[in-house]
Amino acid sequence: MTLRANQLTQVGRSIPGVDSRAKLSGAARYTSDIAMEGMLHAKILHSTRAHALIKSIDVSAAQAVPGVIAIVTGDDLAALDPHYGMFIRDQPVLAIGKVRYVGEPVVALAAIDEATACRALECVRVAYQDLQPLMTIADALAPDAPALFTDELHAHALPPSPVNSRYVQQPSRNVLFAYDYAVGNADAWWPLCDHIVEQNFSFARLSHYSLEPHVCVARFNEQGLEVWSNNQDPFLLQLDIARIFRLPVKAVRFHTGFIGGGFGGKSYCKSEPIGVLLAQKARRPVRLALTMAESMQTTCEHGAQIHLRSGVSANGETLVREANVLLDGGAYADASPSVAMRIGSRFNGPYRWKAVTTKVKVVRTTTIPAGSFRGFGSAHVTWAAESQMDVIARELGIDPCDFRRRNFIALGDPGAPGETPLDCELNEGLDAVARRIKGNGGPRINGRGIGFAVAVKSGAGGHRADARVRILPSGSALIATGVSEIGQSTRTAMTQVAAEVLGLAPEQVEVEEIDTQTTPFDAGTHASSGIAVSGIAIKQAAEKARDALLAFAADVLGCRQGELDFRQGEVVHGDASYAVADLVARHGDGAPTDFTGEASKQTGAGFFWMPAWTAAEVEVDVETGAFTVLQLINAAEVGTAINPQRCISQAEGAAVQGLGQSLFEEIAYEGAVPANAEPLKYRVARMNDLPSRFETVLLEQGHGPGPFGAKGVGEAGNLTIPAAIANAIHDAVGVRVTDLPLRPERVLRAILSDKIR
Amino acid sequence: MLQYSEIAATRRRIAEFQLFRPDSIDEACEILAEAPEATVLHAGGIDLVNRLKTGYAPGRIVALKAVERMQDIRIFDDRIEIGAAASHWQIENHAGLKISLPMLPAYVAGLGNIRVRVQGTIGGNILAGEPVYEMLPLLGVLDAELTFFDASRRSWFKLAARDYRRGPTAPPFLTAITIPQRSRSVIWDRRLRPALAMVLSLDWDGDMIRSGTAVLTGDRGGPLFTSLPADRLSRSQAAANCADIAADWARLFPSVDLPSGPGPDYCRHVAGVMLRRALQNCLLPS
Amino acid sequence: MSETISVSMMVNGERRDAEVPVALMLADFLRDNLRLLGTKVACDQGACGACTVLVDGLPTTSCLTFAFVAEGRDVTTVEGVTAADAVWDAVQQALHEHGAPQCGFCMPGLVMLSKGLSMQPASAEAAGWLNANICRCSGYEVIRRALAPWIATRGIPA
Repeated sequence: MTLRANQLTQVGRSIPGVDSRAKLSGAARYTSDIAMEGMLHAKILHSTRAHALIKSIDVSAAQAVPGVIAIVTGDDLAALDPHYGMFIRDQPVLAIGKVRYVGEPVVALAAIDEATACRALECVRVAYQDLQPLMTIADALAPDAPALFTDELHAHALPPSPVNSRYVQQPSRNVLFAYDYAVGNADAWWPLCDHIVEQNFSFARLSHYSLEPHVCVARFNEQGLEVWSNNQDPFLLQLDIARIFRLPVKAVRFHTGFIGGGFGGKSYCKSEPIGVLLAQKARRPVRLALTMAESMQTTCEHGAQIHLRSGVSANGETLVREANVLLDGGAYADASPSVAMRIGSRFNGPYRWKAVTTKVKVVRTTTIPAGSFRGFGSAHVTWAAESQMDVIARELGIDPCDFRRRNFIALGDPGAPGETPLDCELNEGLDAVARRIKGNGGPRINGRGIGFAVAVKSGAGGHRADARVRILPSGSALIATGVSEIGQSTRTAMTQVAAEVLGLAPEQVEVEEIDTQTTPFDAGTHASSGIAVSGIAIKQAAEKARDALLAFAADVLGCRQGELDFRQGEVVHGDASYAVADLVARHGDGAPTDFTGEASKQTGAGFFWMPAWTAAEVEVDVETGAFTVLQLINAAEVGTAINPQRCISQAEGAAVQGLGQSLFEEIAYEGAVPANAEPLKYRVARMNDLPSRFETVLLEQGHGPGPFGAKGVGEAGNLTIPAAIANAIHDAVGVRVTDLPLRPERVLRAILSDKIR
Repeated sequence: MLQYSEIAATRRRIAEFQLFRPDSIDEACEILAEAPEATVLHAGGIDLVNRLKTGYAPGRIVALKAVERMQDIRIFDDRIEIGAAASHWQIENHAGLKISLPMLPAYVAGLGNIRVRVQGTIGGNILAGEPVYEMLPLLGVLDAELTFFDASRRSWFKLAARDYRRGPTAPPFLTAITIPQRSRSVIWDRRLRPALAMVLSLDWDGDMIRSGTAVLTGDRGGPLFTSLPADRLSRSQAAANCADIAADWARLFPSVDLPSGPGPDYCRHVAGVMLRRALQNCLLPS
Repeated sequence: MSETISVSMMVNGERRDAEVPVALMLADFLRDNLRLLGTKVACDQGACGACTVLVDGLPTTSCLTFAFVAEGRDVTTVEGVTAADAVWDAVQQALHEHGAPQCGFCMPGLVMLSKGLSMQPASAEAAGWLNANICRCSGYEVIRRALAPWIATRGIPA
């Protein structure tokens, strides 16, 4: 609040997105719009088996189809370093000798058009020898379950354990990763608890369902490899592709334009190496555009089983908590170890505990590999933890909001030893949503109830972002960061930060397209890092660019730099102002062509906290278990809002995803086959699913570490929704549903089996 | 057992076909009869095109868009005739229907979404064989009759909508739907859609219920039709016994045991609730 | 031998004649043949509506509509309502001012869906019209606010 100085002119304005006109007029170009001379089209043949040895692959008939230029199978990977994964590299570019889930890429080919590619794929024959599928966590952990991986794990690069924890890689059969976290002396605290609550929760496997599927165009030329992709992490992918194809990093160049949604689904290496492999073999540009169904079968969010036990004192003080989490990691590691570490270290949530112990295991199953998803594990934690907070409050007879307030971590305190101190005040948000949902009060209506949930998610840990700002002779500025524009409005926010520093109008600032050859490094569009980390780099780079210009101007004008300012694209000296181009001309030969500032920002373990508060009101039909969400009031806290409207959009969009997750989202399997991992069958929220009252409160408490006190906002709004709705159902009809989604039959079953009520 | 296609469905996968664009029903019948096994009909195209994207390649497609009378909606004293290629959008906006059978436009306006209703036809909805599609359940309780041309036998036949089930092969050529005009009350409950939806129709003879039909459908199975298990109830008798009638009626539904669906017990329980509410809605003063 | 067919239709007010494969979808005719890349294809199943264009003024799923179906009809794409950068449709302006676009991939389809709604007579019963398209990002509340003037007069519950 203190940082919101009155003299800010660009920061804090709700300008429309700088790309809004392009997106609304159809002029915005996405990777799926790219075409080039001689470009081939790739298609993938997927495994129909959950777990099988590949006995043979016959591509001869496909090879003979006119228009087919290149075909690749696992055999084409021999000369490569063909596995990828964020920390544990176990996923082959194409199946090598064995398939581990229905949908795994087995063969790919490139042809003159997609129709030819599809026809040719129909001629490919793959012979499998089936092995036992492991469709669930229980299947995979059964004593007689076969091992999904029998050989040594491939080269990997696990980071050091976060504070208060340790991990073991592949501790037992079909367990990819185990992570243990402990703070305080739990054994000493359990006997001191007056109330102990223990429950099992389940969390459904979700789909990202971004509208633009994974797509890349790859081509080799004299300089090396050039790829256009809609991956969220062009610089990480550049490193991965260079490693896989044994190319020098500087010989691999990635371009990233507008991305049609990601939510984590386009982070880290996915299908891109298949496109590159085909381009290499075909010696022509290759476009690999997955269908949305294929994208949904490429990655998903982890399903989970969570056992949670919490102990409190008689007066409602949170004392000790223990969580055991089994994550369904699917067939390959992807980002699972990292997700497990985040889940394992977040069970203290926004409350003070004397001791917390957590054990997380990632279990391998023969299902779609699970990876990053908005919230990166915090959604799993919040679902269980905030449901249980409500149960405890009810058992103690304390108002659920009061119970939370009593135990909130205070501003400036770390939640656990060694953690980043909390940079927000939690009561304000809870008060805000509680006040708004209750309106004028009124009598309690039968079947209606109100529920709350609160979460904090850490943002931008261990992140590096570089930036460059150039002031041009025209007086306008070009800014460059490696943050992908994925819908979070990074281009708009960075523009406003640069415009603020440089005294320019937003229209005078242009954002460069991402090209790994020229764009400053960025560790990926992850963990809500953009505005907080790259924003700092942009701010510093803008200051340096301005200083470079003013130093030059002082030299030309023969004055001290301190007498000069840069405003509206001109250098101001007292009452006089000078166009940058005039100063350059006045300098004559040897004048710079632009004035550049570069900066870099590296963060530690946790850079800021993103809180989320939700109040939900539901009306439950006690005879059918169906319920309607009448009100959904959310609050977000962003330190300083660079663009309040864009912040609200992030919070609301996340909340609608959380609403879909609460009501119906789940990738279901029938036998070994994903039954609804396609757009028409997987139900996401639509406009009519919105509660009639849906509001977002934007708080700016000013403690963010980013530019002008900003922090990230993208991953918080979805976390609290499912628990808030389950808590509202409990409030309405007195029963607890512990499985997601909150389908009517689950609610009804809980109602009918509730003997006490 | 759910099958998984190793090649993803996409519009780029649609195989070439021979296109026919007849002007009349007779001409369409002729084209069909030439090669009944290799010919399919394209009306709105939603379900057909999605099926073609999965690799289904019939070879010959007959576009019905230009066929005269296929989109007509005609209202007679005793019946309503709707061409099978009439779109949902046409039906929901039809001025005559809004007067003669207002529940039909109202019901249709709640189906799918505006894109589906503009493109999709009533015939396509019936023939798709998707249990979650809701025209067949409604037409069943309205005692509608379907007029088909069987191309392999070159013969016409009629079938009660209630008896139609799509088989594994391409359906016969549906040209028209005939709905008898009667004094009836129709109530539907879509609140649990897509898991479960219900339609109930009561036919009146003065103040007596001549007959009643209820149908349940959902994304995992259906439609399941049952008749009111009592004859000639008076309005007051029925109104006084809604709960009992509904309970007896719900027991008549065949078991709906669906993998990963809400489960048969839930379906049966909720069917009873929906029936009781529909009866109350119909019979009790609001 | 490729089975082709000649089509003729009005696209954004211009007459377009072409010889196209019979199996070509309207979406691909617009994108590949006419290079009108504003129309997006996302789900390729008719679920999401990103490919929505107007055919004779009504929203149409162009990934489920053969090009030949548009024969003799009037097709409007997002390019057709965006004459120039500064001159665009009232629904686009409303969505712009409210800040509707996030990733933007659904926006051309949403603009066309909304345009179709705005062309309906004010008395039309268009309940649920905007429920047709998916915005996964999801800006429904902003969209709902931006389009409130059109929604209010056409019977859609607020």
